[in-house]
Amino acid sequence: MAPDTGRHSMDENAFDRARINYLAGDRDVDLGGDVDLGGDDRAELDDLRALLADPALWAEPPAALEDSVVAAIAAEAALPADGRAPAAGPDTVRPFPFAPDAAGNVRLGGPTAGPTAPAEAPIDLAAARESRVRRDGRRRFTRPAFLIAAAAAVVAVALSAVLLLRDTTPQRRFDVALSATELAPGATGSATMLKTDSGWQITLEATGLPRLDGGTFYQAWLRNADGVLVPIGTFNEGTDVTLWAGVSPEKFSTMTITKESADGVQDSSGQRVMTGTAVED
Amino acid sequence: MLTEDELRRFRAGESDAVRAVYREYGRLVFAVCRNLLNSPQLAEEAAQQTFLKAWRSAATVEPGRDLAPWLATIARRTAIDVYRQESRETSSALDDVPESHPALVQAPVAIERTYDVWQVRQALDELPADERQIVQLQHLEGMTQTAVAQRLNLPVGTVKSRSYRAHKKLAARLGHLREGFD
Repeated sequence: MAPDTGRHSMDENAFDRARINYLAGDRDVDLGGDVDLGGDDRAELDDLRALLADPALWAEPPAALEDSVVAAIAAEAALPADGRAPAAGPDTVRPFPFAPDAAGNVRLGGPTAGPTAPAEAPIDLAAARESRVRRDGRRRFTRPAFLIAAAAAVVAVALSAVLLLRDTTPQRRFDVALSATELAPGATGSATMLKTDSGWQITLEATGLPRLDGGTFYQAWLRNADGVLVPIGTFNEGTDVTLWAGVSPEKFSTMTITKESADGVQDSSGQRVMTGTAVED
Repeated sequence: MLTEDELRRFRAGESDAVRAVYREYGRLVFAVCRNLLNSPQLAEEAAQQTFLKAWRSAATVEPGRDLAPWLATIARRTAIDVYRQESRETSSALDDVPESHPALVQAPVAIERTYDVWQVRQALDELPADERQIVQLQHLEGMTQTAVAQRLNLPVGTVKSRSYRAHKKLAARLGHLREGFD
């Protein structure tokens, strides 16, 4: 047998066959003793096999979903332009446009919504869902027999609730498009800032930032025109990050993200990886 | 990808154009939503909202652009929104609720996982039906090729060759999942 001088010197067909058979994961198949896939190959194929075994991957959408999508869009398209819900970019979180209640929860149905169940009492989730559906005054899903009328009624009720609440409890929102610095080339991201009773809730989504761990991390800041920095939170990677600010982006309109270390120094390191300006929606 | 005319008709909400977009991407969007949400009902809701949001933002789409990454991102964000709303609704006494309860949702996963689900689902849809069936039986139901042959009343050799062809295509199509979404 020829000495194993590395992957590229092996019979490529045998190696490919070994990968394919490993992916198939069939106990009936003999992989052969001369082919060593190596840890990285096995790990990559194990990930793929895990996905292939996931029931969610194979789930088919309900047959009625197509009609409900068509009806929902047709109903909204039939509305006058100023009565439609605003467009939402794919990289911003746009919550339901209702003000939060005293507990900070956002519920459809506005001020007439019932109180949250006491924390110590068990919740019947099915009953809670039905109760919320009745409170909302709308069904979650349309069905073919009543698609157009039902969808139009849903949108009309929702819009009425939006207009009613916006007259009394408007929710301010700022958006930030983040640009990368030379310390993080290729990174992109955005943030959405929503005014709540607890402060400004900031949802950040950034791609291309390598994960920091083991005592290093990212820190986000808001800065005003005078250069005053306010820290708004730390995180390890830029996916689905929630931050909080006690200052308004109206005055502290510059958002920056820096690389930091847990070294006891509270000031910014100055190693800015991303920056952007908050713009009110 | 949509042509300029298809995109114009989709923006206008014309039902045949909406159906065309749904038929192209509906299964993929649902797979993403279902991957993020344990409940089929919530996944259905999230999928419906995804297409509605996509329609609202269709004015920003350039003709000829592949909608897949854009729709995958909207689907993920929408499913996360649904998850968050359900989490607020069910934040009390979760210990009293069995894990299998359909109203429970699972935590959002990394965006890379969303793209992986999208690409794997797309690769599966590209397989011939007979090959896809074998892949499903082998992976989802954990059957050996011998057992698959018995289930489908096919010669084992036929199952082996179809399985090999299918997995060869999947390995070639998905071998660079870690390199990100094209």
